[in-house]
Amino acid sequence: MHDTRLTRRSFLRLGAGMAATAAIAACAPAGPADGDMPSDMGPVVEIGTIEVPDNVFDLPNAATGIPYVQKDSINNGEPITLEYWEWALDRYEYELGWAEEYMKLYPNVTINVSNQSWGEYWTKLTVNVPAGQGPALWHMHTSQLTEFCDGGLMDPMPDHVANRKFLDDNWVAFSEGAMDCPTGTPGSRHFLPMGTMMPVMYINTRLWEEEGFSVDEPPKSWSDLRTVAKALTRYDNQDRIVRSGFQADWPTFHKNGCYQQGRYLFTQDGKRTQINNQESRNALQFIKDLHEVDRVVDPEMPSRLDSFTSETAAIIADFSWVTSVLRRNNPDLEWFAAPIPTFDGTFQPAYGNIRFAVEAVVNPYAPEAEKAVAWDFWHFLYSSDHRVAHTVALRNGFIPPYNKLIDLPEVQEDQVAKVISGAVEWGIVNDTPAVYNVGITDALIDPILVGGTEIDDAMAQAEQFIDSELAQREDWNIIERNYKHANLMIPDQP
Amino acid sequence: MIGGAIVLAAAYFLIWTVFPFIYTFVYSFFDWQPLRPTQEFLGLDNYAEALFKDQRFWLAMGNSFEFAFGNVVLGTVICLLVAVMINSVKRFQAFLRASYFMPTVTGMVAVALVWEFIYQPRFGILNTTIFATADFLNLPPPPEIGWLTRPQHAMNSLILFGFWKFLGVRMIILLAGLQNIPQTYYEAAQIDGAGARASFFRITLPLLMPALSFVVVVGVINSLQVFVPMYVMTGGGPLFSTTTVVLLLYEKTFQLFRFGYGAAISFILFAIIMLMTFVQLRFLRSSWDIGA
Repeated sequence: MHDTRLTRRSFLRLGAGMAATAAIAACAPAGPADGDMPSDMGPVVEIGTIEVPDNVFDLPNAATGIPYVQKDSINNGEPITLEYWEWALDRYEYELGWAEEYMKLYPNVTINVSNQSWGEYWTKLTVNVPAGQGPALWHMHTSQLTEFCDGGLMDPMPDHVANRKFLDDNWVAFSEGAMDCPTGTPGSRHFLPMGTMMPVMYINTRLWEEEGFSVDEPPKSWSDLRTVAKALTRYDNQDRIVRSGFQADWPTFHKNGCYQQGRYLFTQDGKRTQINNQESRNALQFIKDLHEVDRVVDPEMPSRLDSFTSETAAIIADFSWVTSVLRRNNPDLEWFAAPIPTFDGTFQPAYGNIRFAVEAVVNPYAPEAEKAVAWDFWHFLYSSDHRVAHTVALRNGFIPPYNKLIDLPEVQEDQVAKVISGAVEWGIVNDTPAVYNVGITDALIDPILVGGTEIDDAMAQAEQFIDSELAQREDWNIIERNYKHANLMIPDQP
Repeated sequence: MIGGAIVLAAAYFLIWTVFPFIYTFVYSFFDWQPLRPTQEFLGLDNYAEALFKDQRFWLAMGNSFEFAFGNVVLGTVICLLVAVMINSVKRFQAFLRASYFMPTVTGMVAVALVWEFIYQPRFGILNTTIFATADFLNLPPPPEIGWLTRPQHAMNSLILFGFWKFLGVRMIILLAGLQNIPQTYYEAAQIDGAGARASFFRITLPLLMPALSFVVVVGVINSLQVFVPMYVMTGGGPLFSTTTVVLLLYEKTFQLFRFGYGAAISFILFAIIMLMTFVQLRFLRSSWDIGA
């Protein structure tokens, strides 16, 4: 056991980091403290020196399989106004630029991009869109896809803007992640992600090297992770953890842990969960041991992002959207990215969950004229590879979802994109419904880590709780079994 | 002109209060899920589920009452003491009044985030100060308190935050009540030989009852509707210990999209608040009507 006090530097960094976080957050209405929530708010710092070519529009880009062609006029030249909603300040700024580009092409079109807080955003959309109101376009989030798809609240992609077969063949995990929604004919698609994210491990370079580890040898398995996490953890003279060796979004860690052992999260019909099983038990036991046996983390530590940015956590695991926050708000922090450790150190049968960062979707209840212009604008957005690869993907810690862009040198040079592109083959697309996410935190992880509930009891309770909530509806759109390596998963799962 | 203004005000009230109220009430009998095209009529099922099947509803109700009790009963006593103290001060009264009132005008979300940092168990100011004080006094190090991370402390910590946040407005109301009590009563009592204690219990408290009643009734209503501190500081955890009825309602409505069920919960809460308000007014009015 180490007997190292929290250094004054670490303490000041933590304080400054948390104060900055509080100050930034204080400027905006609150959002849920959810591991999946993109916390993109804050000052915008340009990443790198990406030059936008003047001829972007003239490049032979056709990410949707159908090149965008500028029209002589749109909406017969009649004035028309579209509303376009966004919740992240960073994206809002570049979306304003896109709208301006489009309005230059068609001066009769006005696109009002408005930025709203995360919490209000979904509340307003949930109420407005079904009522036939709301914006013509809005930025979609992966966590809401299932609900909006089931509710028929995303307009199906018209054939003149995208070629389904081209998307299936050329877009990362598109065919696995695509879902049939009631508003479209079977096989029609409603969204096209502009980025693909996966869980990634972020390691503080200075702390890592101080411990004598090499950046070329990150931990690969859970067992490796325990070893390095223990070495990196520091305690004060009262044996309290003052630097955590490893912190993670535990519900996500559990989810990935199940996938890594070949266990799906839901039954085949998507109506029940699979929580009470050996694979789940293994993942939970590992999380519990990190807390209670290895003592590399405890619930009294600040959130993983606050800890990492204040150097009171040496390693964190999270979805890769964290990259944009680290780069924007903590440019001086030195870190490197690595794949998350897996159960046995390999990516088979699976590495973890893939989530889409979905760009604009179109409101099916918007007036026809607005829908037509909205889809044209949407098509215009995907007409630029530069827009997809640079503005969205690399800036946000995703990989471009368009296969041909993954091999771009700048993508391969980006360490987070490189990690994801190496693991994406072994990713399972699944957007778990909110009821699952709430249940895993409240009924499974917290009772074990905070309440001292036995793992078996917690698993049984959580499964019962989530299943009873799932039973309130019958139309869940669970797509995890589209996994391309389904043959490697545990056979004969219910 | 006046007629037009009344019509306008009535229209505003009808559109923004009465209509949503009725609409929500009607849909509390439906399986109202806004993201789905059809809504099934359920009769009283939503109400029955909340009252008889959903264990979390009663846990949340218990949490709401715990917060209300701490925040109103203990909070009002402290506010009364502060108001009496300020009322007795001759100099700097305006400064003290402004100081105590300041938390009321700060943004709830902003201060909740600041308090979350204060309460952070490992590196937060509160625990750090406690440890530093113990160290300074050569006392053994106290146990670390997980103010917001442990179920046994989380609600109390939020109640403490509530004291601080709501103290100002209650204190101003009580102070106004205190300053409305004619000084002659105290002078007469003094001539009759009454001490400070007797004056407080025989003059101050009875004559302050209207203001106290208002503070208590409004405090109970607001406390049972509390949402933001839990939403921002704890998310309802740990282990559901700070999930109040309104937070549960929000979760069911806007996270799980069960608007009908959420509406039913809101009307159960409405009925409880209304009932409590009647009971309080009846009980409290009897104590301040005696002088009338």
